[in-house]
Amino acid sequence: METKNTILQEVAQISQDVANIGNHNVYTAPAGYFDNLPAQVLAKVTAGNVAVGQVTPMPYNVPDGYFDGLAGNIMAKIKAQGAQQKNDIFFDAVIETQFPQGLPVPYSVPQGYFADLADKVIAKIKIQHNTVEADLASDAFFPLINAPYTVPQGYFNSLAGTVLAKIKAQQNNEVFAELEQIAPLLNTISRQMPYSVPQGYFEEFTVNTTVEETEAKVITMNTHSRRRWVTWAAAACVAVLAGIGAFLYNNHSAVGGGVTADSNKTINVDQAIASVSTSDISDYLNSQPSTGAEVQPTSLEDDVPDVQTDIDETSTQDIQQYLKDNSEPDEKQGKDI
Amino acid sequence: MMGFFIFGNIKPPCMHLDDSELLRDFRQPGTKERAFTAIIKKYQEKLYWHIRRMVVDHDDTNDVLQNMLIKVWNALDNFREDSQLYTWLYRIATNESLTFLEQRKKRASVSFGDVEEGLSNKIVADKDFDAGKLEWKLQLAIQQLPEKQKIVFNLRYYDEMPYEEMSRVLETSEGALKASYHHAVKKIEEFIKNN
Repeated sequence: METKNTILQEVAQISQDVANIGNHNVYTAPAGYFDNLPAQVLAKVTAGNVAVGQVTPMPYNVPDGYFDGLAGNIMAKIKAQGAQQKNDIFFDAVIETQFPQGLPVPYSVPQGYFADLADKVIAKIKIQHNTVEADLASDAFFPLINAPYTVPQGYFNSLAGTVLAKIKAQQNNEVFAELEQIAPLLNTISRQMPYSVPQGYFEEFTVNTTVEETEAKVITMNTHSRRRWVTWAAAACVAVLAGIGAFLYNNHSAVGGGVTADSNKTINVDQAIASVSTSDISDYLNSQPSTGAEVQPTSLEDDVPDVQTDIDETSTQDIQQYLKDNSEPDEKQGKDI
Repeated sequence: MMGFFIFGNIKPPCMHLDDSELLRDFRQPGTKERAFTAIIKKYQEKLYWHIRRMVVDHDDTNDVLQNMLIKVWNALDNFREDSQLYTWLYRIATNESLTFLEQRKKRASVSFGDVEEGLSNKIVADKDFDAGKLEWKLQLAIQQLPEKQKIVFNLRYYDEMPYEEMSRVLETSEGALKASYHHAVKKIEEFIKNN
């Protein structure tokens, strides 16, 4: 009241006319509006984002007259349930009276069935158990346990070989790497032999060890003797020429001016030789076919282009080994084992 | 061509037997033939292809292989096992192939170069020969090599034999083998590029 009076005094100080109007409320609210207002507001708040004044329609339909007969239906069912219980009780009472040991079963059981039933069941269990154990060791195991995966047939049989082949491949990288440095082209070529083998050859291959091996008759050709003859002939020619030369030299130095008929011939030869220049003699000798080993001129560049390179790159020991390996065949006899 | 003697329906023992076990069985009279059969089954393909790369023709290969295995039968009792069995077998096969080629050369009264040409002709005459395929060109290139280089190349390239083993097979130093292989590869590469 004190506050209200203070405000009125304040308004009067400002405007007496306004103070004289008074603070009576001129608006009115519907009857009972404020009585139900809190409940209404709370209901709308709990309903969610429902705008004030709006009602959300239910999506379900109810049959016509459902609620009208609902109560009567429920009562009828209650009454019926009660009657059924009464009938069951009656039925049980009748059964107990007529069949004190229970209702008879219409089926028959073979004689002695139950006597060995336990043994039969146990035997079947054992059989199944053994079957499972056997299948554990085989590829059929997986279907028994309904595994979702399958293994290709024979997979485990070839697994060891596959793994060994891969290990060997890793070890043999050395050969691959070596070839890669020398001639990479050869690494691109398949190592599978292109030759064909008669079908079943390896499967049917056997060795007849009871047949005595007969040494193949070796018929030596006269190539070696021809080579040796040529060598000896060349040596003989050289010796003859040397002998002739020595003979002529001796005669020339021994015989002075005196000549005989033979000397005339000798002197004529001497004169002829003396009149021939050294270059003419060498040209003559070169033009004559040799009776010894003929050396065919070869073009190293054409036929053996890399001999010099090979020689330069080969060590002395290797050359010696090469010469040893490529010696005459008859020197190789007896070196089989 | 050597005749065949069928050993009935005897199935050879497991091929995965150790060489020492096979040798031991071979030296027992009761198991000698079975062990020998097992050795053949174990190494026949490797030896066959080693020989065939030298002599080319299948029939010739079969002859050489038969002769070589007969020698093995006669000499295996005295094998000292100072090297691996397959090393010893390879050595016999190599020598037998070289002997065969040498005899062919003498029989034909031609130079060894002509023998090489004959082998090349046999390659070309093969029913499956395809000049466009590198595998066949490689075979022709190999036949151009000298004998020793040919053997070294085949043992290294196809059999992937270590130089240490190869030196025991060919009784040659490793250095010489490496040099031979290097030259062989270069020659083959050049032949293939030029053809």
